[in-house]
Amino acid sequence: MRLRPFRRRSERSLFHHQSYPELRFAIAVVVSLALLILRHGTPLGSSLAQVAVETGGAVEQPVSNALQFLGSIGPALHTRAHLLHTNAALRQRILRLRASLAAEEPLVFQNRRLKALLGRIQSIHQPFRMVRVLRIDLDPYRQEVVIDGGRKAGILSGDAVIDAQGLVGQVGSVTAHLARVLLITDPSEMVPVEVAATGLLTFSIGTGIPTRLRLPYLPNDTRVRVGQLLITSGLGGHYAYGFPVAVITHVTLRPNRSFARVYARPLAAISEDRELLVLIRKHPPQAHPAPGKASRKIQRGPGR
Amino acid sequence: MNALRSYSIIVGTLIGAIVLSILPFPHWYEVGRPLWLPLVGCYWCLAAPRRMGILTSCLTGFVFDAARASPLGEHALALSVIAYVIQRYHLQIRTLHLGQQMLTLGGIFAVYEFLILWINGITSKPGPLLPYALPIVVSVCLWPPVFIGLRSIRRRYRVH
Repeated sequence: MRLRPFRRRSERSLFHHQSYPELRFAIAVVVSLALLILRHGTPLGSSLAQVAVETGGAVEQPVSNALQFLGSIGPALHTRAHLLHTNAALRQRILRLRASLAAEEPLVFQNRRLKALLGRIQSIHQPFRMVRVLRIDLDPYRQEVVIDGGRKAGILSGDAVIDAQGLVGQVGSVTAHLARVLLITDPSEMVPVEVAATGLLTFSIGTGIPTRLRLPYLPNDTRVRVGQLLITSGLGGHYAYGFPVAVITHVTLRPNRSFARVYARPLAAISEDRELLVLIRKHPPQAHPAPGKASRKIQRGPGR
Repeated sequence: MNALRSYSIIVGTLIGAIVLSILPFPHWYEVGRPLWLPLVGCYWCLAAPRRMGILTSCLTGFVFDAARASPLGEHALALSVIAYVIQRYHLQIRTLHLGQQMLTLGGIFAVYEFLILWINGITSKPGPLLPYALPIVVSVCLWPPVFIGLRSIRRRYRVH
């Protein structure tokens, strides 16, 4: 006669312990692999991903608000004298900047005329929205920041993001009140750039290190020099022309390879930024419609 | 009552691990960021295998994926695999002393990081390799304090 182990009701677990762990393992693997595979392309996968992003955002907002409150305790305790002092310093800085701006005014006009002659579109004067950085993710394989503006603020996936020094990245996934910005240093980010001094066109790719970009497609007879400025070339139409991106820091010619090794340092102070500017596109390009919707549109087309 | 208390303690520590994993920190810390969720998950799989098993780990992974906005299923898959390994061998691993446990968990964490690297590669985000190796070393070094800390919690609240 076999004895069955006696268990109190309260000690039973949700999934019975005596059952095969292999079965539960198979269920777990199948479910996670199915979700990973369904991630792109299928409406079910993308809606599930959207639900997950929205839920994550809903949890994230109170947490980052609490963190921000903790961070704001410090400034609230500054003395009046300190505030007056910084106020005066900032006023002086405004004056200095205004003076230098006035000195550069003629140059701006001249530049605009020359650009018009060259046929380039000057579109830096885009409407923008100021956003605060809630969270920075500087993983080696995910360079992202979370900002406190989303669909409600008119921010769309793909908008360019800049700070006072240069290009920061582009908006990735967007929820109602939050958005994730993919930084230009993310390993999957590629920016069409131009060497400002020579007009040479190339690409920069993120390395996963916040202070380094890679320019992998420069041949060994390249005339790129350390210290030269890289700006967005506007090719591909994703980023407008002329935002400063990075400064070349490292050039090694490798005659035994096809391309030289060139690194650059992004100008944007990504890990120190608190405020960023999101450039709102005037005419958002038509997003690729989901396959289901597209077929429906085609069906409806002739009827109209 | 015991079940409810055990689950609340386990879920509480897991939430703590998730928060520790997504809090913003300076960059030097970010490179060697310990694998808090595998550390805490492994402990509960070892110490309370009836409460924390493969499906619970999978569910935790999904929550973590949603919180980090990583591809849904990435950490769920990696956590279920290491939970399965521990579920199979928890009786053996329990009898080892801390040093041997650290070596065993080093292997398990390496499998975890390999799965994450693999999934990142599939979803077209390859990165440098060193940042995947460093967290393994850091997490293995953190195992004794995590083990002792969670054991004292487990004994105090009688989680089993």
